[in-house]
Amino acid sequence: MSGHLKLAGVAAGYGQVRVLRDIDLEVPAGGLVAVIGANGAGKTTLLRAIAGLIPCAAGTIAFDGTVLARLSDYQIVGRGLAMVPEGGRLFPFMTVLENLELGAYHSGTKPHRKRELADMLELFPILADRRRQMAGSLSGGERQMCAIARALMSRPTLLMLDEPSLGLAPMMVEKVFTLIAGLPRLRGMSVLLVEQNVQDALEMADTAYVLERGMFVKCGAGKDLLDDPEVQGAYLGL
Amino acid sequence: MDTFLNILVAGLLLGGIYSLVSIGLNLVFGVLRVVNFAHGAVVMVALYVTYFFYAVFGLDPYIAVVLVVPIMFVFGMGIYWFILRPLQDEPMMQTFATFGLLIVLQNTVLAITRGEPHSMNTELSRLVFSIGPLNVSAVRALSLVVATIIAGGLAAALRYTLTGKAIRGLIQDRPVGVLMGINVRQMYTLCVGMSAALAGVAAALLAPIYSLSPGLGDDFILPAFAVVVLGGLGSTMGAYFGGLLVGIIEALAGFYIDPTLKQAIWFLVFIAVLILRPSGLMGRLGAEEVGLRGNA
Ligand SMILES: Nc1ncnc2c1ncn2[C@@H]1O[C@H](COP(=O)(O)OP(=O)(O)OP(=O)(O)O)[C@@H](O)[C@H]1O
Ligand SMILES: [Mg+2]
Repeated sequence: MSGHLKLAGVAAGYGQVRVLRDIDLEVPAGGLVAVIGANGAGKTTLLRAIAGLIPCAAGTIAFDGTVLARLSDYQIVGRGLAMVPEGGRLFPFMTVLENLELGAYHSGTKPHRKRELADMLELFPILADRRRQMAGSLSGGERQMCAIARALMSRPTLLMLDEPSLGLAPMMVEKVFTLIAGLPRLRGMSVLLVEQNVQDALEMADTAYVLERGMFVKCGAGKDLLDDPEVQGAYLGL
Repeated sequence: MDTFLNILVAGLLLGGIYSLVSIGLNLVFGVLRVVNFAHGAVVMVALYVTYFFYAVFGLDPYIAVVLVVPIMFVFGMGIYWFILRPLQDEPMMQTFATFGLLIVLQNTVLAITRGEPHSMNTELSRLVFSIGPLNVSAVRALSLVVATIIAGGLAAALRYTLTGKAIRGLIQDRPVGVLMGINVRQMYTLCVGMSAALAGVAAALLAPIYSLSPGLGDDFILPAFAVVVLGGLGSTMGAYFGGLLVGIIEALAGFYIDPTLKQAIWFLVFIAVLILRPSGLMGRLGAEEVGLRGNA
């Protein structure tokens, strides 16, 4: 089983500004891990560092035993690590189909591209209807679906999602979360989920971390954190 | 009327060469976001390389093109790798560096050739055929055909091939392109190489009708800048039609108004288009910004 991510003592930021300090995190193979935190806590920065978009100033990130710092940024997706960026970040002037094709750009997917595309259009029927539409003109929900499908096209063993519920109506949020919660069983992958929708995220996570000002202040089983008075006070408004 | 048509055709054919040069300039600008001031000088270098094969081996420019294009492709890859890539985190510096390259190339060629003018005469360059009242230079007609094929081919490649889609993806959102596994340096090397290779094609077409001097790139870079903005930043077909348009305007203005004013005239048209359509004829509003999005 693969899809095992381990961060030890990671620090990262932008230029001279350190955003993350001393981050230890583990996503076991097949596990669903959530990171929750307020605006500006550093959640997006954490995912960027793992995906190799920003360098680590300290510490190591290992994925299935490979130290990611040894790879070039563009090689990481080929190892099975995919990311759904905040807001989906589709290529706006490309069709839904072209976005999905680029999801499977890396050469490892070559023999599977056709079948993977058919699978995605089946998993997300709305995308099949919209396949020739420019991604920039999709609705928020469609965009999020397309971004998830694009990431799945790379056949990841670990999927990272940055606030997939952002800007979605409650019905849509439920749909997206049901899908994400099913991924470990459905496709045998691990999931690292960053969310501000704390209730839902904690309910579905095996393990969850609480990020505050660039550091983890709490970690535990999702269900336990739901009952934690501090978490309830700060994030659940109880 | 015949005169008018003849001038129109002459302008269209000149425009074909502008198109080729502009498409190359636009490719580098659209993808790397670098204004390549040295692009005219690259055309000049390609012409001298063509001349080298002509003078030393007696090769006709139209045959030499099969050697010149790969040589220029490698030359372009070198420009990316040794000049642009080391400055990749400083976009302004990249643009200044291309200006430096322009001067280095001009002076190097000047030093080697001692500034003596050269020209290549082929049978073809004097060949003119007549269609009814129109007199068409064979070489210039060929330029138009070649420019059309290249513009169409490049636009189709960008649209339909996986590599073309990857290049468009990088234009629209570079960090997300990296997340998809696109090797940015590889794509940039390819684009600058292709841009210089197109300059090589332009050189073969120019060889029979142009006399060589180290400063000849200046005749092309100015129209090419206008064409790129006029046609729409990053749009291949825009650069193609923009090139034809500037060629026609130049020819008409040169005949009916004053040859010395021809450049002033197309700059007036250029400004008028920008006022009416700030994104250019075929560009997308804001397209010059999407490539500059920050981290994913
Ligand atoms: N490109 C950047 N350059 C400099 N600073 C940045 C950059 N991106 C983010 N930051 C800073 O890093 C800190 C953490 O930002 P980050 O985007 O990781 O927060 P976040 O937890 O994802 O917040 P949100 O929930 O609003 O998405 C913030 O203070 C932010 O201002
Ligand atoms: Mg964020």
